[in-house]
Amino acid sequence: MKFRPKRPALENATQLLPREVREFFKSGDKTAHKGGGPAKVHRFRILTKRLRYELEYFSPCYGQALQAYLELLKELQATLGALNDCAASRELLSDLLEAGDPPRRHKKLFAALDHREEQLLTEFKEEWSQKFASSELRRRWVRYLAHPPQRRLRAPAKPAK
Amino acid sequence: MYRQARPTQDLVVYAGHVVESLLRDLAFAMRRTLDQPSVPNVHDLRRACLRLRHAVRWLEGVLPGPAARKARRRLGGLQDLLGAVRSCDVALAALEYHSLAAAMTPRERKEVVAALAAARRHALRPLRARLRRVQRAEVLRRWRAQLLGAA
Repeated sequence: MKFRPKRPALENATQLLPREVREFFKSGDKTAHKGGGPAKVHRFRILTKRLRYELEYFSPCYGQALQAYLELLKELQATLGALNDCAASRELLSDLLEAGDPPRRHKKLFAALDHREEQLLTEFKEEWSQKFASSELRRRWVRYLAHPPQRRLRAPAKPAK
Repeated sequence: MYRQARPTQDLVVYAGHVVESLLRDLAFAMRRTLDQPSVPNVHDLRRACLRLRHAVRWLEGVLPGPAARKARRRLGGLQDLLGAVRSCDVALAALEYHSLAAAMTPRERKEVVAALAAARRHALRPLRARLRRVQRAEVLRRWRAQLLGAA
């Protein structure tokens, strides 16, 4: 059982989210460095999206600084999303235009899609190494998720009588 | 975003507030898409649907099981319908990239855009029918009662 429903949300978040973010780093490294094909990139895109949603669900447990981490994920998601858009567009256009595989018609269009996909894959790799590869940055992520600002740990003040 | 949720609440109560907020977002996005199924409205509805579906899946064990499973299944169906429309919008937007636009003659471009527009119209029909059914049957109100019963 990953959650402890009867325990406070904060306690659940601080135990679960650091594990999830470590998993995200591991998967990102594999996808960026070990020749991630389209299927791997797609899986990593889904993982990134899920991590972002999970951080958002627990945003009331963390301070304002969470927004900066969410922003980083959002930027990464934009690159991965554009990559996925290329793959999805190729698939849809192949079906709609009866272009075949490899496409017989609209050759230039499909070649341009391939080229754009390669560009975006390079962008993703660069973004990963600039924003997510540093071990100090990773420690900061994990530390923040495991130990959010102390003021949040206090129970809300009782209303004055 | 989740204004009622507090770090000190036990997870069942906390998750209830999160799901309630996501259900509200979904209801709002559904109404807007039914009124005007534009590109941003379909995109927002798809995101609201994805967020709620993931919450229901991720918080399994915290939310009531049978209700959560049923909601997930039905959200999955809705997501498929939304995905079909969204794919057309994405492909139409992709054609705007200068390298892709330059790869087509005006005639080719017209043909591709027409094919995508027709596919979008075709994909929109079952989506609107599903949204109307969901609204008529007050599905979201029932989900709210079932999913938040334990909270």
